[in-house]
Amino acid sequence: MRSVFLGVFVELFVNARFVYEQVGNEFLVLDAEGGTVVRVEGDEAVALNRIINGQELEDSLSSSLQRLLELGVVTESTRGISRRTALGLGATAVASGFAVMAMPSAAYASSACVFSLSGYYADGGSVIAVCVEIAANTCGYDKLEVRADGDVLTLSGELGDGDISGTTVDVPIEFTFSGTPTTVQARGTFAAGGAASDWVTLTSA
Amino acid sequence: MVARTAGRKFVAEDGTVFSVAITQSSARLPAPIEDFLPPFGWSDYRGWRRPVKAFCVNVDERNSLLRFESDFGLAIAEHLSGRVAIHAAVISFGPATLLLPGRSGSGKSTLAAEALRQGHSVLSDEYCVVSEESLEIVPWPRPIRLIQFGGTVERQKIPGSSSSAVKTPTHVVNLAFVPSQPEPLRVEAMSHGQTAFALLENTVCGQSRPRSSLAVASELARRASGFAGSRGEALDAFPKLLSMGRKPKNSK
Repeated sequence: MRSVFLGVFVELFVNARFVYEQVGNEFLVLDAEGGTVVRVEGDEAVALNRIINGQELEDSLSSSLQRLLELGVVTESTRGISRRTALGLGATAVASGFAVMAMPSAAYASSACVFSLSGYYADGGSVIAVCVEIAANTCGYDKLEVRADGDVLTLSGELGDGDISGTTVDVPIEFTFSGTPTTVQARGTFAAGGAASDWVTLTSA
Repeated sequence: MVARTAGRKFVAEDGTVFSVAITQSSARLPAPIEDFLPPFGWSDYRGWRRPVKAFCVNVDERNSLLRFESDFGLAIAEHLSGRVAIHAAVISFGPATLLLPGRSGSGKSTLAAEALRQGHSVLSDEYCVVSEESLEIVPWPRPIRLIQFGGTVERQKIPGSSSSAVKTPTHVVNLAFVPSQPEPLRVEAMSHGQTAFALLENTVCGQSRPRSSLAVASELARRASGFAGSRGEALDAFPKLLSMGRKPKNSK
């Protein structure tokens, strides 16, 4: 389409790689290749609507158009060259008029648990002692699972030591391991099964 | 005790093949794995196509079965064909169908159990399965799973689960369950765009079928009223959710 923008005729297009849906006065713009979706509202949605419908843009929408260009949702084609090819998820993403989200994975959709921990481990030869502090546990994970170099370890002490109680597991928990690990990780799990948290890499004491 | 492991293969609606290694001990009568399979979306497979993922389940151990139920259900929900699964509880009361999107720990199952206790129809506590063509919701009547203090899971069967689809939902309530929050239910209307965004965030096939996910979330949001907020305690929240469901759709 051809639009007037600040007194200059430029051709504006919705980037061909994007799929969009108008929902009420807003747009959801999907970058299927990049795996992100943007919700566009306010003046940016007005500008986008005009571009889609081949209408001219008033100067008052210039800043909104600029943000759409920066985000890559709209491309400006002069001499057949399209400048923008991808969603820019930097400063523009947090500007008013936009909300950007990575398309959720199946595993992500299954768990919104906030679970963050930090910790360290001490390598004692065949035994690893792990200490962690849990900063947030909104899902109430009640077990801690530890792996070294990808192998899930079993507790060598009392099973109860692996239980999450409160927010701090301050007594070293001992796990048996043969060899010297290069990467030790921990995560929260439910004793009864269900989605676990992400693995968090621990530092060596 | 001698443990035996047998293999079984399943094919999902979209043709994806999964293999399951089933271990059982001869010392005990194992639980039937069928009780822990998803209600639909799969069939047994005896062909030669290579499985894309393998699951292990020890039918002697309840925890293993519960984990398998959750993991395998998620895999099947992601690989439906012509349907999009959204992580949401679905409650039907009178003319209204309420969608409660949210992930594990957001309180979907607790609200579903409360709805059941109050005599309402629960289509699922976990997945809202939406037909891409008709936007009807297909029930996913697996037992409601309630995580108890100490981590055990109580499974509560949904009685008389309807096998027929229901019409497009009339309300989408995007609730966050904040356990420490003492206040009762507090919600505000969302715009249709916000509602679509919230639904999209909870689609199971958001990455594998993003266009279908976008189309379904957008169309559901155009037809339903959306609300967002925090729910407080389930017992207090449910009557208010019901009264909200009886209100006409917002006009945003």
